[in-house]
Amino acid sequence: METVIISDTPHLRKKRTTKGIMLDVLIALIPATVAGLVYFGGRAAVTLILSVFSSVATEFVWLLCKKTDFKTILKQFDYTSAVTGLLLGLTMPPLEYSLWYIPVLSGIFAVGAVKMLFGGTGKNIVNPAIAGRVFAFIAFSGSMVSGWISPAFGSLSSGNEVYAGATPLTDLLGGGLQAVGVSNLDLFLGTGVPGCIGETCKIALIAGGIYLVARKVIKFQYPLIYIAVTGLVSVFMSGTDWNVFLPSVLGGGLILGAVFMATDYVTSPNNKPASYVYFVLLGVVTALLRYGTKIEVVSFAILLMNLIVPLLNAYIRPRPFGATPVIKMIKDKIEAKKASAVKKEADGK
Amino acid sequence: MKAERIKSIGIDGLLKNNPTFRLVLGTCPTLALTTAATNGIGMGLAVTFILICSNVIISLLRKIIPGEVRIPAFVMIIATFVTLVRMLLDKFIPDLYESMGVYLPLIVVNCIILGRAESFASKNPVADSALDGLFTGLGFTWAMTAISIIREVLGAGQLFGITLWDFRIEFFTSSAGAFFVYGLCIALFNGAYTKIESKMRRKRFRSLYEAPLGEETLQAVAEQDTSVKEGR
Amino acid sequence: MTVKQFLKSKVFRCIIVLMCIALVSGALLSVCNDLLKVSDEERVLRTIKKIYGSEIGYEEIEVSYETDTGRIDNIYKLADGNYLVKSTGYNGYQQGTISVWLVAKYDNGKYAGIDDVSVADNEKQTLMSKFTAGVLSEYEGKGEEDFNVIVGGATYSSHALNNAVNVAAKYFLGQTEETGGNGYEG
Repeated sequence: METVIISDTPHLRKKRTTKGIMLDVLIALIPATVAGLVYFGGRAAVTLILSVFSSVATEFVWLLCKKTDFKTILKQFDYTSAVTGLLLGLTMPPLEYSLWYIPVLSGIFAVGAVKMLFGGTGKNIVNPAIAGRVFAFIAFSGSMVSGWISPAFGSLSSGNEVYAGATPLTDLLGGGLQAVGVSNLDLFLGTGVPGCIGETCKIALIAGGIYLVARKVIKFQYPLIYIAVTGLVSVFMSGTDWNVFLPSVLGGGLILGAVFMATDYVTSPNNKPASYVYFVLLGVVTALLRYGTKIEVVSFAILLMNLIVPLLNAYIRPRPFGATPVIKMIKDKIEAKKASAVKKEADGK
Repeated sequence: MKAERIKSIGIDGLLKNNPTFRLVLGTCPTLALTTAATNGIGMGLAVTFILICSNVIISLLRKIIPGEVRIPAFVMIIATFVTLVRMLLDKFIPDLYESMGVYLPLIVVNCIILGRAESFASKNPVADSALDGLFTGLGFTWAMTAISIIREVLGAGQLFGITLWDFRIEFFTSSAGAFFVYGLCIALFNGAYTKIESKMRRKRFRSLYEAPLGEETLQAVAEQDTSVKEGR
Repeated sequence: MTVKQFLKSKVFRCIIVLMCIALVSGALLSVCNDLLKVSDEERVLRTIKKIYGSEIGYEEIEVSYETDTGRIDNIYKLADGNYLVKSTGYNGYQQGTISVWLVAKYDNGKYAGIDDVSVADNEKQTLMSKFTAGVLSEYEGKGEEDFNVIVGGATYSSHALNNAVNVAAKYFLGQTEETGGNGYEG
């Protein structure tokens, strides 16, 4: 007698869960968090704690208001809102203690208005961390633009002097590296460069990205394409001055956005050809916006592109299994036209 | 004028066909002028006045204006009243005139006025049209005021120009916040409205269905065919 | 179509109706315009009342004064001896400008400093909300020529604002040194 097993779909299961993926992302963000804390100290710690706490609390409060059992919420808690909170905190400048309400309100907006209002995990229309950051930028523009403090270590190139400028990326885009007094190595390590908590130490971010690629959470080519295209377009916009490539790639929140935010599953296209188009367009839009407005635009570019992802999904379809490749279809059509033309000539004669 | 008629026009204008929350008409001034409560009220009252006047004139002329040219005729009449209001405001209340800016002449193409003219005033007698203009305008005014109170308190920490506190979330005074607050208000209003309406409907039909012999059970509301009985 | 048919047709009726509406509206509005007109003088009085706080007689002075950092747009000599000035400063953020209204105080015929600075409008400045009343009051009561009030985080806009005030200050300080020619008392 053979045993017949009747079961429901899915029939093929893997060990991956949303929880597991989110935990991987959290682990990948640890180096950047540690670097941010080391560079910026207590203010960064408070900002991060507040944003994570408010994001998670918003999700809990929302589900409680919908009369879900607290135990069920705990059981079903995938760490998506925690990741949102941490990413949101990492994109904020290290804020003063008196501005505690900024991470809190941004967290509430990010999780409440962008994620829970639209249906919870997997239903957000844009990346919630990006939306929270843009909300903070619009709502508290003064504090977000001028909350820079100099990091704990000074710049390596200018002899451990601490950069004291108004807005680092603006000066960088305006005047180049000399105007800012940091070298490419400084931008890479984050020493002496003021900025948002998570975005300054590029090597920590890259380490996190390598971890994610190794764990197969993100595909390595997409962030690379984004970063490379941004650099290339920036070079072209400034009249093929190749010295601009490294600063434009290493400066600002580009690597943080490319590795952790643009690759979010919900808000990026769901097939390969569309993904390539998406990331190339992201790079172009980021570089053009940076050239035009001279402020840090990665969050706005990602927000814009997130909104057109449904369009890309609808119109750029992958080839279904068993269908004729496009090139072969075109070849067949040309052959058919040739054959009918020859036939017409033969008939006409 | 029967009281029933007045009441039904009133409920229509203020709640059931509220131009801002239910019909979503005239969103341009709603989004732009709800940054301060005084602007909201001023705009609402200006629209109310123009609505009443234009509804009356259009209703008077409804037999004369041919159907093919009704839109140009309506627009001309509305534009006359808007220009009149502009001149009055410029002369007597210049502060409001300045804060309304370009949105005052934009009232000419405000969909509320054109919509009410097209759908109500051109088919109903004068008194009805005047009342409809009044109540629709008041519906617009209270909707604008509600939105602008939220935006002003959260975004500028003021209420009718009086500073309440120093804490401001500038998001709510920006255009992004306008859309956000407007959408939330539509959601809240419609949610409350459908809940109250279904409760009232249940109450009304329960009283019609009195069990005559005490043995027939009441039919569940969901199963009743209420679509036919609704229109009166 | 004969003339009689035309006169009875729908087209003619539409034309007549529209023309009548236009004529009646036009007549009504022209009457109201005459009644409710706001003259230019009244407009300037309104500006004065808004800036200066009280209704006061004025006299417009012709001026064309421009440096490479700013220019003066209007000067109104007020009945109590002060001057209401509108000036524009260049070199703002993204090469924009800031225009301000300010009062040049004259004490017993002597120039006594700038007062009551308020921002009229600006081009391309994005951080104007930083220029609160507290910042603008730093210009008051001083008779110097080179104001340098900087607001943190809005460096370029501060430069434009300073240029706007300085060009007016320079003009009036220049006036007190010259004598005659344009009616100012030294």
